Amino acid sequence: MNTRRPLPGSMSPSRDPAQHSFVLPGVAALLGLVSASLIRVGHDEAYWTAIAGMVRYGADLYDTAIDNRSPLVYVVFGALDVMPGPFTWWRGATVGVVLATIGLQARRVLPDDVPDWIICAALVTAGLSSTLYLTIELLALAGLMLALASAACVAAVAAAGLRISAGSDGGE
Amino acid sequence: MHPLLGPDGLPITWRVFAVVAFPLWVIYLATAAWTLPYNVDPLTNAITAWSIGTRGSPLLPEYEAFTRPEYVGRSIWVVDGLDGPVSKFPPGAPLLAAPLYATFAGDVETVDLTAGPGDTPLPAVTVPVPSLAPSAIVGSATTAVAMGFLALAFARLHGTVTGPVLAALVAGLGTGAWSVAANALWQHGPAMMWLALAIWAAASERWWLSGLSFGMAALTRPLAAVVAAAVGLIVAVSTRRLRPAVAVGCGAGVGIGLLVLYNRTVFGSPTLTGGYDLAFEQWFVDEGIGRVENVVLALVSPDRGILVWSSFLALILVGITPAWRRSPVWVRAAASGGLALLGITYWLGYYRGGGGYLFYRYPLEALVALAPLFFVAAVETVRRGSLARAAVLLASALSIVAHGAASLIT
Repeated sequence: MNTRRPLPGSMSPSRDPAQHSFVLPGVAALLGLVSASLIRVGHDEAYWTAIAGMVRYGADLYDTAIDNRSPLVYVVFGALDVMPGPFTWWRGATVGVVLATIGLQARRVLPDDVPDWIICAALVTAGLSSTLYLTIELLALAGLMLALASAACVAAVAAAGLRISAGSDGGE
Repeated sequence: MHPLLGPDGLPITWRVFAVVAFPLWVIYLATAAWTLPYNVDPLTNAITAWSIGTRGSPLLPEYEAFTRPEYVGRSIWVVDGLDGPVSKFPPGAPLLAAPLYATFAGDVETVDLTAGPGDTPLPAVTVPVPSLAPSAIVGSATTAVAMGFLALAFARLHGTVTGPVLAALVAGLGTGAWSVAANALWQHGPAMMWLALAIWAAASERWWLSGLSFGMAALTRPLAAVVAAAVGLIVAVSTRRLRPAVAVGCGAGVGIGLLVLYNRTVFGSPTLTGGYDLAFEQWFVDEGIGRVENVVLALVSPDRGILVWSSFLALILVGITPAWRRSPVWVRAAASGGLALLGITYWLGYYRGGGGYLFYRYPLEALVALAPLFFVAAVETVRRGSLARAAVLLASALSIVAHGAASLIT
């Protein structure tokens, strides 16, 4: 009987993080990019972009360019606005990058018995369902939120130098 | 060596706290409301904080016009106090922001404050409005700190630190903590912070600290005293020790005493309710719903439902029974207090909790008290297999997206 044992120190295929690295975030990013690119600019987005434009041409934020969000919101939407090509394309790219980032982090954080397709489905569903939550115009906004949520996870992980994987923790 | 664990294998308190609170604070600040337009409740707290910080008094003589019956609650919640116009709310939240206003008063603008929706249109009133940035900073910081303390409490229930950290991040991003409490200087953020500190202190048997924190929570949102009573009494009875009841009771008594003293000084009568209108029954009559229906709508209505907009909570209810059985007494005591607080809140208050925000806000303090039990329930739920894990993951992602979007557009 031909029984093969793994070499000492080798990893089982399901635990090889490299296997997960590109397919999952790639699919999520592509779906995010395509879907976000197809949706027209929403009312709030247009307003934030207009405020960013006013500031770019010399208005003072909160004084002569009046709205109540944080400066970061106008920086983000101002940056998307000045990029060459359609605003929606860059918005889609942003959502794609966000989903890819979250996909990578989710794969690291979650145990191996949560399959890739479930994470991918969660990401895509979360992105698309935001249109059901808050009118069809807010997908990009949801993408921005996903970016911030992802940033929280990344910062949390980076700040502590965590390498989260099953078994590397304190163990229960 | 795990960076969040010390040589003894136990979580390093400040690291676990910081790894949750700091990123959340950055996110909250990025999405908070920094200027007008502002919700009526946090605007009232912000103006009161400015007045306390710069003049040393909660009295708001410039806002006398808003005490007229037709204006009350339409722009800010100012009522007639013993010595003049004053916020109807307890002083806890403004007191936290007052030092920031005292240090960085910022520009005071003269604004034509318009009245919000109501039966009749009303003319705008010209009043001074301070910078609202200090309020955004305090509202977001207190909510982030609350989640940091919750992470510490969770860490006492679990052998790992990853689970508690992730759970606290989901609690901070997938609930009204983000879309409401961190968005402005509501009472919710400060009250959640004091409650979370009190619960963590109870978990580590620091009973006096727990009591004092519960008292500060009551000074911010008086009904929070219910959780203090539950924790002090249930832990004392269950463990047959007098100390938890005495320390929590006396500690909480400090904050409650300060609240009564404030109400005696400002409103002329030593009550817990202060400037609140106590005509609770009228709300239900006006809206034509019963109290049981009110509770059901609070849980599952499409616009305000807790279990709709934080759907991961509905999923982890699957593990609530085993969680109750295996939880230590402080978890069960806090959860009992949270459940009582939830019941009283919706028995007294119409589930919509006013307008000008999305999803839910009334149950936020109760959710903090219930959070340790929910954490154990989440662990029990995800142990049921990869499908349960996937469902919790998906529901958490949906909740985070929803509350993130809501935090930006309100």
